Amino acid sequence: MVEPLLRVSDVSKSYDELQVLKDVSFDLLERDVKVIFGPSGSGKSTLLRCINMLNPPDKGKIFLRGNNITAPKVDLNTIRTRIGMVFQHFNLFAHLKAIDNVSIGLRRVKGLKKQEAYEKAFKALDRVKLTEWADHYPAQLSGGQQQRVGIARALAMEPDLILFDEPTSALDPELIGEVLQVMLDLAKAGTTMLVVTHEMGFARAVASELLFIDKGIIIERGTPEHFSVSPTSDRVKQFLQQLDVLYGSHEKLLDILDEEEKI
Amino acid sequence: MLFQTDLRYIGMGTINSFLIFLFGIYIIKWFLKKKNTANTKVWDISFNKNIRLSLIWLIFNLLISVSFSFFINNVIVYLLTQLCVSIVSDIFIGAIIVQKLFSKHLVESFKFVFSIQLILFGISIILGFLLIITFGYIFPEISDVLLFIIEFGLLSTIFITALSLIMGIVLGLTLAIMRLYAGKELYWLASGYEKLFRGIPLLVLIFIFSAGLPGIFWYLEPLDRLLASVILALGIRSGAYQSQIFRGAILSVNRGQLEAAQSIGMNKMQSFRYIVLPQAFRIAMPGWSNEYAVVIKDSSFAGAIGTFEMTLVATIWGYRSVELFTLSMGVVAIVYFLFTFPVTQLFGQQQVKKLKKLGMGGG
Amino acid sequence: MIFQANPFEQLLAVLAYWDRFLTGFLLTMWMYVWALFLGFLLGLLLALSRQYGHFFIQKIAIIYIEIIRGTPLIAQLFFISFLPNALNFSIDIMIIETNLFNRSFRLLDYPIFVGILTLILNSGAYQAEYLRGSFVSVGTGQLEAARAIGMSRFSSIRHIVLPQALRRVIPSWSNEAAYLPKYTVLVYFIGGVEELFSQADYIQHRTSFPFATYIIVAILFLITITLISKLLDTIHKRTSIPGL
Repeated sequence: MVEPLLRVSDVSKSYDELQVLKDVSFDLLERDVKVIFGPSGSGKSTLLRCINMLNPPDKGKIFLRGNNITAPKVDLNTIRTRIGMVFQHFNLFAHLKAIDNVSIGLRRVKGLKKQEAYEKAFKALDRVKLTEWADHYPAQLSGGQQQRVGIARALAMEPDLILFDEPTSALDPELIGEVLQVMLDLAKAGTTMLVVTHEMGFARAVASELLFIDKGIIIERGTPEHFSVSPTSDRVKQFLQQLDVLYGSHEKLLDILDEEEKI
Repeated sequence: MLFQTDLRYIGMGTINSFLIFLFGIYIIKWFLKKKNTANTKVWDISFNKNIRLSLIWLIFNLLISVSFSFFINNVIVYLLTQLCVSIVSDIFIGAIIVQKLFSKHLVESFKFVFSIQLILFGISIILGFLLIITFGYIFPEISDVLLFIIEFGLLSTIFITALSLIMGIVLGLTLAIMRLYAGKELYWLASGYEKLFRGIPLLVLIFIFSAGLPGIFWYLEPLDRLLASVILALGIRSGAYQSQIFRGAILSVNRGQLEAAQSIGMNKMQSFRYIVLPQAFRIAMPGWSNEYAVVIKDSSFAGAIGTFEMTLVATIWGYRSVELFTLSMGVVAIVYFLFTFPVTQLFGQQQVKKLKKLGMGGG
Repeated sequence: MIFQANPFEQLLAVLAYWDRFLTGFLLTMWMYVWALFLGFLLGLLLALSRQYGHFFIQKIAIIYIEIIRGTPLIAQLFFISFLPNALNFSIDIMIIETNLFNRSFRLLDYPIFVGILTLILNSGAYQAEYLRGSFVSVGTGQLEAARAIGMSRFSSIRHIVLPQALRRVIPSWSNEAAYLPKYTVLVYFIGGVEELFSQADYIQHRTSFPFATYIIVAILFLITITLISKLLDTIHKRTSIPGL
């Protein structure tokens, strides 16, 4: 039995009266990609924020490489350098150029020299194919480019895993492709990823397991094939149907992605 | 004779340098906008960033004009020397700036700045003569009151303004941080302070500190006591207003960015120091430039207790006759205007536009 | 003459002049009300011409606003009060006088007129900027929509933009409304106006207790300004439209 990179066990979280997460548990192995999906308000983003301890869970434990990070007196800042996070609304630092956005963590948190940090940041920007935009401010970049800088910012810290919080849902449709492409490349290069997304094409291409969450509970889990062929619960069927109506059949999306890959 | 100078030369040199600075920046800007329209956006933002370099350019220019005016007492000779020296200095510094901004070849940027400089000095010589003619010959009284104000009041006004603003920054930043991050007691303390000192007229504050509490600056000379109490009153009140400016600016930095900073492992101190503060200062700039204008204008209250500053000096000059009194008030108003308007324009309106381009400051 | 007295005695000695404080305060408020409301009308005119006016009218409004905002109030006050003398003409201002506490109480004479006029001219420029800000925040979209359904330019500004802008301006305008009583003390510089600050000056010379005198003035202003902003807050809450 391999020790999982991330183990989430019985995590619960409530805001005031409203219970957002109820005893959620799953494991994430190294070089593994898992996709979480579900209707809005179901607690997906809260789960990610619990894992990154931005909003610590009320109950339950989270283990990163066997260390309990929910225990008191854990240095959260060092933990967070090992868990990257990509936000829905990018959250780039508006006063810094792309290269500085990526390198500021290396310089201020890891204490690298400017030259060294820039080299690393440049490599990270290279992985998201944005090296020629390094000298631009966030406001000068398109949404897709901004999100790729956000991914590079997480990558540059060389984290153990990266959390993606609906990385494409704030983007215009024609910009989604470039971000998904970058995420596909990362997944193929063996980055451990936990992704909240509704892009079922992406999920089918790289995810080893899909988790469907509704009202704070994991209702159904399984491989992409399981979900596309024979989802058991009615809620999941209904939700997937709605996705189909909205985005078209998800097989189509997969085709588009494959074509992009060939180009 | 050494150090025998006419203030007129200093004034002219100052105005000249200022004109050169403004014209220079706008001509370069206009030229580059015309040249590559595609990258206008990039230019605007890097321009904003490199305004510090241009300011060094301006200060250098000013120093040269002022120091030269100490040695020369002939207008024509003065203008000619200034021309030569400024051409050399401006071209060198300007070329370096252009090279830094656009990573062009040094020789190329050298030529570019040289040609601009020639045009500018054409303009500045004409303007310089116009200034001499208007101030020296047509309105001798205007030139007289202007020099009087500059000689006896300007320094004091600037001194009062600068010290009160610095005091206001320190107080304001502390109060803003108290209101945002400290506990409940400190929050109430800070907001009470703001309410209190925003509600009391400045003149009353000045009189409380000078006439009401004559002992607080016992260790100073009698005249300096008055000056100190004016600065204290202005600084305390400015602190209450600047606190609001800084608080608004800190609040308008997007919360998501703080979370992003935390997600790459920064602690609270680091994320405040490297993410929030640099942006807050930029966002606060327009409001702060307004506050500067308010303080420099309100430093005119100092005259009420007999502290020398521009308005009091102008009043003294104007006491000779009623006509001259109105004239001196008009001139002193113009001097204040020259000190406030460019600043509120450059750091206010222009900065707002630039912040919008950077997507900062809540739209 | 300097003699020792404890703070309480000082306060009592100063408060013996309560009638002067009261008349001074009334005169200050009298000037304040005129300056605020006529300044508002001037500001509205300036803001409308700056935002929607003809090119030249726009430029004139901009120049006026920037000059007033860029120069100190004291200089404006002196400039205006001595302008008739400088230009060799005289203004006859009607004198309105009543009796209050067995002393004559002037509501209008030349210095008071100059004070009110300067405050109107000054406050108008500041209020114009607040009003313009709210015009901008209403945006051009609604104006276009009003023109699209056939309203004239004047009536679309009058019926669509103005009602919203006037509601929106209240929070920032209350800032100016609270500022203004503080700036009325400057009328003291003209001399001959018996408003609160001049009265305080008189009292502190009579009693030689400047600290107690000015503290009372400060408290009076604090109470006034707090009441004004509270009042405006309630007006804002009453008149606000959901979603604005």
